[in-house]
Amino acid sequence: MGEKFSQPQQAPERVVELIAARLKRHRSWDWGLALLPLAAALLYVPIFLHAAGFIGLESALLASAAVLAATLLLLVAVAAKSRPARARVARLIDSKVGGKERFLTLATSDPARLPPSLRDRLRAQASGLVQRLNVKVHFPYRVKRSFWLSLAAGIAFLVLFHLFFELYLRAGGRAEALAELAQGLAQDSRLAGFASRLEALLRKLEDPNLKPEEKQSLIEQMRQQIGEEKASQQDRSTKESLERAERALEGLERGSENKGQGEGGGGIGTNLKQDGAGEGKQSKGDGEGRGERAALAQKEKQDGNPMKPSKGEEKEPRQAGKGAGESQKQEPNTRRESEGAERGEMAGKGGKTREGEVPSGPEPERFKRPGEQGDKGLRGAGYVTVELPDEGGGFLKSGRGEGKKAPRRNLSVSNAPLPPATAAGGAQETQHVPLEYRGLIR
Amino acid sequence: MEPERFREIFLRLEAELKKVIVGHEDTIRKVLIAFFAGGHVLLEGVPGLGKTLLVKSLSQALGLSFKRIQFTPDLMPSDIIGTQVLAESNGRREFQFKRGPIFAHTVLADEINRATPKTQSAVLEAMEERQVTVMGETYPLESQFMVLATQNPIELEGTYPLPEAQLDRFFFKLLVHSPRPEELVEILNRTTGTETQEVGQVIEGEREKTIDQMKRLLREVIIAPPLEDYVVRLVHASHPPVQAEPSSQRPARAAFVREVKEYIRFGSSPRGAQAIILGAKGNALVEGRVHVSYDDIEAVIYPALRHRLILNFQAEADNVNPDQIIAALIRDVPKD
Repeated sequence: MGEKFSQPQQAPERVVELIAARLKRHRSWDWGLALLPLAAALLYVPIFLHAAGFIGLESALLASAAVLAATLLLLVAVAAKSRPARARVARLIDSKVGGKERFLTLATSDPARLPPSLRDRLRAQASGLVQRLNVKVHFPYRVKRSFWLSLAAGIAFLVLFHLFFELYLRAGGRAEALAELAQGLAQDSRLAGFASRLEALLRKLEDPNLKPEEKQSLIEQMRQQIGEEKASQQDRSTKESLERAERALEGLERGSENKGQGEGGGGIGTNLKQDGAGEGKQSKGDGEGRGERAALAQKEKQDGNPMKPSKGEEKEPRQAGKGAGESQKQEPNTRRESEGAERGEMAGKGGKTREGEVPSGPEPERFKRPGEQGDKGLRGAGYVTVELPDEGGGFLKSGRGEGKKAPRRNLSVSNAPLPPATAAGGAQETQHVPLEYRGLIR
Repeated sequence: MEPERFREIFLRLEAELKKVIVGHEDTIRKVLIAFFAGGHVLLEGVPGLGKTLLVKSLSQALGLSFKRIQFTPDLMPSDIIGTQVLAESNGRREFQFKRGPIFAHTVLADEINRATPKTQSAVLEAMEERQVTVMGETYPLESQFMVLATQNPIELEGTYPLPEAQLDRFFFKLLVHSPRPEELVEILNRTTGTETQEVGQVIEGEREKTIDQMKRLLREVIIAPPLEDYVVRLVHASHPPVQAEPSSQRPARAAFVREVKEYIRFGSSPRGAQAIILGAKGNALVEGRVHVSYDDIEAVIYPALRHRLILNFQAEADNVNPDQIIAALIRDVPKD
């Protein structure tokens, strides 16, 4: 259809048909544009899940095809039904060209029942009006509000999706997905070994004492192994499974990095708080306790004794404040708990501690100098006997409270000074304590 | 007949009538439309507004016979219809029918509400049947028969208001309003000087045949089904029982008009819809179209329905008139 009906003799009934077809196309466009953002948002989900390693390529393709097919079916159904009524179109044309219901009459009347002379006259009058009709001016296509609403809905959907996805990941969703994948891979005899290595990695990653950089190095190693495994495999489905595992590990690595960054941020926050007095002023009671503690830690640092509180040392104030705590928490958590414990302690004292006040009670053991005898006699001890816990012997997986106490019950701890190794009855062998066990030494 | 010829005759008739009638353009047009639609007209207005002159001038312009009947309480049906009289011819005495004034092309029934219901019904029966029966013998009326009745809205003492069933037989009810100041000046100029205007005969030659052709053409005018549907919905919406029904039980596409529910006792009869469509067709031809538009319907709906809507006591108490109800109908009934 051109911009203008160039032929004045164009039959008005035909014009009505053409405009009806145009309006139908407009309607289809409206629906298409209204569905597009939503369909795109829905398409994004399987693609994203595939990229993140949660679903396979086939599942992603299937889901995408389903979304596309549903959208197309809906469009076709709507397009089939959306043909506007002739009367409505004719009325619209009449209103645009001042037709005084000429087009409406011609479009809706049965020609056989009309007196021929009057019908011809009416058609001639309507044909004359057709020239006034400029399709692009009178029936332009404009993007409807439905599109913008749909766009907003699509964006909102994606934002919510990512929000919930992030929450799911934080709740261990990615590791779960990886575990499921490992189980799936274990079904394949060729990948059984790889699956067991993956499961072992996951078990290791669950260790809360593992530092982020250590986790990353483990994951990196596993990814290298996957790369090698992939290169050696020929089967497409196996390769795909390995790719999924690789992507999932990549996501896990990213998550670990983010977590590390988050912790780093926390560290920065803590360092700022270590300035001490300022913060103490700002938040009475709780803040003072923290500021003082930070100041003490700073002092300890200056003395060359890094502020890495041992679990035993940490436990005492916590028990005093809360009566319970988790020894297996990571450092920031421990710090928070410690703060919380102190807060509890402060609260117990009525929260009246002011700036410059020194907490009453006995001095904590960790502040004793070498040679000074504490309650447990740790300070100044030349040697300690260490019995290492069995590997994974219920220690790592122990629950709250149990995690602190169960291993300690099993450890034989001596707090009496031992004779040197060279002396008779001295320790027969020495062993370097791995980093991760340092916290267990009493 | 060509629509142009219809329009030409119509406009010439209008022009002739305007020579003697100052103002009342709408009344003149509606009277002519009613004439070509084959209907009768009830004119309501105070005395001295030119109602009688209008009817007389119309018959002159059309070249048709004209009779006037002044309705009074003692007027008998035979005074209008005619009666059998004993007459002698060729030495024999026999009853002959003496035709009354109803046997004319245009009949002015002046102050029709002053006659008794018996006399009124005799006239109204003739209007509907277009024939009269006396002593078992039927006499057809003129083919171009038209009654223009007038009634005075004041001085209602000693009058017999027309029953609803008889009002329904009038195609249009036209309200003749007092002239505006400038129109009154023109009336004075025309009637108090020496010059007098004469109404010329518009239709030359075979008048009745031409009028018949014009009447046929009017009925041939095209009306689209959606417009017919609109008229039907308008008339249907004027019925209070429809409005009283819960919306779930109301017929599909029936509009709710609050004024109808509150003020109407009886809605329009099917004759109302017929009058709207025929009147709209006439209006379309006069406007130079061969099809009806919504504007035509709105132009004739007031005279077509105002005497067919019977108001209740509440409407009288609230000083509501039928034209307000019709305006509400146009407002609330959707066109599509």
